[in-house]
Amino acid sequence: MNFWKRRLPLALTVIYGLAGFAMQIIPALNGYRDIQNSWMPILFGFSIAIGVASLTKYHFTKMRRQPEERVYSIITFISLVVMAVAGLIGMSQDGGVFTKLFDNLFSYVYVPLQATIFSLLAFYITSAAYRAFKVSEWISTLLLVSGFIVMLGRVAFGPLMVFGKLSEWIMAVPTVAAMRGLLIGIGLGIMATAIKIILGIERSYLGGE
Amino acid sequence: MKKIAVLIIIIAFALMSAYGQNDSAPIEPKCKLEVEDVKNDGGTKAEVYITPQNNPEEVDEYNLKIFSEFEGQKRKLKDIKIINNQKRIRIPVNTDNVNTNVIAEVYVQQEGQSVKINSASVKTKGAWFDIKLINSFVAAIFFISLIMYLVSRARKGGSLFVRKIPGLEEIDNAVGRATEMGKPVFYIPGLSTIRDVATIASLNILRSVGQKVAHYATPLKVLNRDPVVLGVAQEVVHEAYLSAGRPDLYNEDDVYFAAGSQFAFASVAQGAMVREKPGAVFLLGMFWAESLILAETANSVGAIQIAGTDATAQIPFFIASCDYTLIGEELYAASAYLSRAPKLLGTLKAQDYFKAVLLAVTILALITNLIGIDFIIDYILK
Repeated sequence: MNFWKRRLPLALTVIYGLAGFAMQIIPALNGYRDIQNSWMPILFGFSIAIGVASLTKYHFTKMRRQPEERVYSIITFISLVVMAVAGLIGMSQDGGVFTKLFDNLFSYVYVPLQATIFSLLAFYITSAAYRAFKVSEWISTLLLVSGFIVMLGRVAFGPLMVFGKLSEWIMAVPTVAAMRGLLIGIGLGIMATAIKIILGIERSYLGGE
Repeated sequence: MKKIAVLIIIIAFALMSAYGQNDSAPIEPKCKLEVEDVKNDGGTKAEVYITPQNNPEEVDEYNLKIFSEFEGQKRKLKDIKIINNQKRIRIPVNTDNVNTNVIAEVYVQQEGQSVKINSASVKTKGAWFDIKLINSFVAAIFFISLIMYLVSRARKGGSLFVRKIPGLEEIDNAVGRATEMGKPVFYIPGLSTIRDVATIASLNILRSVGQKVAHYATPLKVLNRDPVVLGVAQEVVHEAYLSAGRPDLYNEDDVYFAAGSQFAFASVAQGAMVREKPGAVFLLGMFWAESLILAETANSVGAIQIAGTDATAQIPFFIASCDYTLIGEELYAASAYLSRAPKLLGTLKAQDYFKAVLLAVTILALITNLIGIDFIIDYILK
């Protein structure tokens, strides 16, 4: 058990981690990198089955145990089955009724639903900005002033064009400086985590210490 | 009359001799053809250069055919008409395999027939070191050495100071608050795949959160977007409950696949938060546009939120709407910070020292630039 759950995954991680590092710096191994990358869609294809199994199990359990939320699970389950059936049968009948059903469900149900959720962002941005600006600290006042200048700068005209220049400066100098500082830290963090995993120092992702 | 006759004869002879000269020296179509292997690549690229050596009046166009030959199989890659403007022309060639013969042949039309006038070939070879990555390679070796040194120092018992990270200090309080309120804890390990280091960092934190949650017997819900992450998250939570001595509390259905698409996932998470009203929400990992939707919904149900991401575009949203935010590298430091394992703290210190080196080089470059010495800043910006 220890071998399958700990040692083998750790050994594979070390081997593929070192191989990945070598493939980055040795161009002659590019072909192997392409082969390795081509395995990803295969793995993803199998992993979809895990996702569908988990989704189905979760919603079946919920249908049994939580009658007040049963309706959501039924809708989810019906959507899953209808889309899967329409997609799978439609693949073999180009232009047939199932293809049209799949296309219509995708274009007129799925896409508008996605757009609806995305559009909620506009309202959430307003409420988050309100909370960020109202905190009575000098730093939030600074944020408010710079936010005000940037927003005004984006729609500036006539004498207000000075805000345009100021806005450009805020975006190009202090913002970029902060972002670059963050990116250096993130880059080092990614490197350190990768090295920890490759060297087997970090094993929490395997469930161990 | 006699004079005119002599003149005609002379002109006729001159014309005949000129015609005869044309016949005796036919135009020889020529071109310079070079085929070169691209250096510093994976061994699948070559470059063909053709330089016409005739006047456009003599040869107006050449026909360049490029073939690849691998394991005895010859395949035509390109067939190009080259208009003669007497300039050197470069044609890049990509082959499918390493160690492929790239053969270039040049043809011209003569008396209605295509005649080969030149050919050249080269075998593509893969480079054994990408010289453009020398800086990264040296930096990586230095960084690895630093990590090894500090890890061994930490193992020997050397003290390593690590600054306080408020977001991580608050994990205990967040779980405690959810326990007191009798509400579940929600954990979202980002929306990216397992290939993303931020996801792995998040799964490392999930173990600590899982142990604390198991200790207090508080329900933990982990919502996943990627099926592979789902499998790893289930295992991590299971092991966390085991190590906390409460495997009986682990329910596989609590770590579930919410949805595969971005906004469908956001909508499932929103719905779950509104219905179950969690006491604490952890948003740690890679997030995109849905970050604010998740954070604001958690805020609206009164949950304490601890967020962390390395997506620089999403950090401001988390700072604006969450109680605590792990900014960038703090996400990667979390595992070491929470476990306090010496070997992990060693890597954390290595990050700090390396950052100090980078800062010193940047300041040095700025100072030298100010006094008119540009080579350091030029090298950095190159």
